[in-house]
Amino acid sequence: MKRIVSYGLIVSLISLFIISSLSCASKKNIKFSKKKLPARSNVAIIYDGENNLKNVVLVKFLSKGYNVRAFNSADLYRLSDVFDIKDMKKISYGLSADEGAILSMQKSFSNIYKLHFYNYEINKAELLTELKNKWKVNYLVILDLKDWTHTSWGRLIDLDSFEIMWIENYPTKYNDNIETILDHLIGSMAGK
Amino acid sequence: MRYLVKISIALLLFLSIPIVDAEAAPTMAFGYLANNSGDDNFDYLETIFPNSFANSLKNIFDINVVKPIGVNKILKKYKMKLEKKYEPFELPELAEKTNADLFIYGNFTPLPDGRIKILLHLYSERSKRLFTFTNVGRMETEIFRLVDRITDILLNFMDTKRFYMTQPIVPSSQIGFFTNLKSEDLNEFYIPFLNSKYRVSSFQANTLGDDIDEDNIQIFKSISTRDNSYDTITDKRKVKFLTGTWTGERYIKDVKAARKLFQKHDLYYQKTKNAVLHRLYKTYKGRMDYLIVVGFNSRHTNAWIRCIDLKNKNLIWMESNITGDITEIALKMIDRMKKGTDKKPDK
Repeated sequence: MKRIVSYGLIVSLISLFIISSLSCASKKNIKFSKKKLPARSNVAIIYDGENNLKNVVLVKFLSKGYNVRAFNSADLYRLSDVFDIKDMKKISYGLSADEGAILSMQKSFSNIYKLHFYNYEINKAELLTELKNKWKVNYLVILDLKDWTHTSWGRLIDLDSFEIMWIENYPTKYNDNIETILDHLIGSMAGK
Repeated sequence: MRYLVKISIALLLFLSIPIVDAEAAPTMAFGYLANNSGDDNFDYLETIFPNSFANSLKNIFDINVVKPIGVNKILKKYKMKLEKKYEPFELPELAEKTNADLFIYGNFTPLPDGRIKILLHLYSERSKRLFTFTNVGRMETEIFRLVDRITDILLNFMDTKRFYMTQPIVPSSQIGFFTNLKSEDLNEFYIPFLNSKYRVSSFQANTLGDDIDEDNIQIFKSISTRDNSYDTITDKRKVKFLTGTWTGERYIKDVKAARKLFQKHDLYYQKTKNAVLHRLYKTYKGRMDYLIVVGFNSRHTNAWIRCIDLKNKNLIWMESNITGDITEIALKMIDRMKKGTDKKPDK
């Protein structure tokens, strides 16, 4: 009986391992690099995580000689956390008038919704311009660090041209930790 | 023959008529193509153009066409006459009276150097949507060439892909993408463009992720720009902001605010949006050439596109039903961007 249970356990573990490996294997490692992140550049880093982990991220960049600007403190919200304009759309459906009026008001609300996104993107771009001009930041680094079976990823944006300079999707390995992922991504954007 | 069947089905899909009702051929009514030149010598073209488009489309599709003279005859029963110009909100009534599934009308303006500008409106009664496009090309001595050119645009748009494109988008252009993808999926989408030497702007790439789902991005399907638009028709006459005996100062203030909101975001939306697009263009220091909205379905296997040229703030590319995974969809887009329209542009 004990032997049957042991075999069952082993088969289950092997199946679990195969499934996990397959889910990991389905994630592709992709990378593009147009320009290396120059040594001693002024960078602003966006990373959404606990404060102790944020510190690990910042320390990694600092220890590699980059000048890290004090950004990434109060702006790690999601759009919906700040201003959920979707509620306005729901209100628009509640209008009781004839069909033409409803359609027209829905169009108004849809247009407000569209302009909200455009304006949001413009505001971000204006903030980035300010970052560059007032804070002397040359590059914006965006990082999302994930656990095993998920994909960590990053982007590097040149604030002079507003262009994406580097991108990588890095499927996190079983033996990775936050430091090894950071070593890999920083090395990749620096062209090492 | 297969080609004809295919495009007939495409037309039925465009009209949103279920295939089971396919026995009744759809009706396409034609208004005038008004002469905008101020020169009476061109007046004869006001009916020649629509009649030619009607014949050309009749030869391809299994449809009933009603030419301007026929439309006028029907409208006479209602003590009305076919006008040279219509406001979009007048079209539903016109289509209803003429029993038309589609109504086409527009205007033309002869330009210097033997060129002509044609503006066409194509209204679909089923979807209540109006597709407007402008075509500038040679004023052909053989009118059928010009008719073919416009018919090609209509055919492409009536296809299931709803394809419309005015110009290629060359590599080295800087593009801002607005999509409902995020995180590593967005990176996967960007890579083929970057590898093809397009410059991808930080627009929407500069955050960890926006929460835009499949439903929300649909709102961006309607698009209204200076020369080309694809938009829902609304009737401003039906929008009333009522005031009466018991309305006080505070209520009047609220009503005025609501009316202002409506004017800004419906009646004069194009002006409002142009101001926003101009601000966007300036913020990016004129470096972002195109803004491309790409809406994916929830499984990321099907996408649609709207592209605005930020310099002249015009819709230049529309397409739907692009299938594949994220990378395949990006590669199909790139192929289309490099080729531009199927036809070579007129010189």
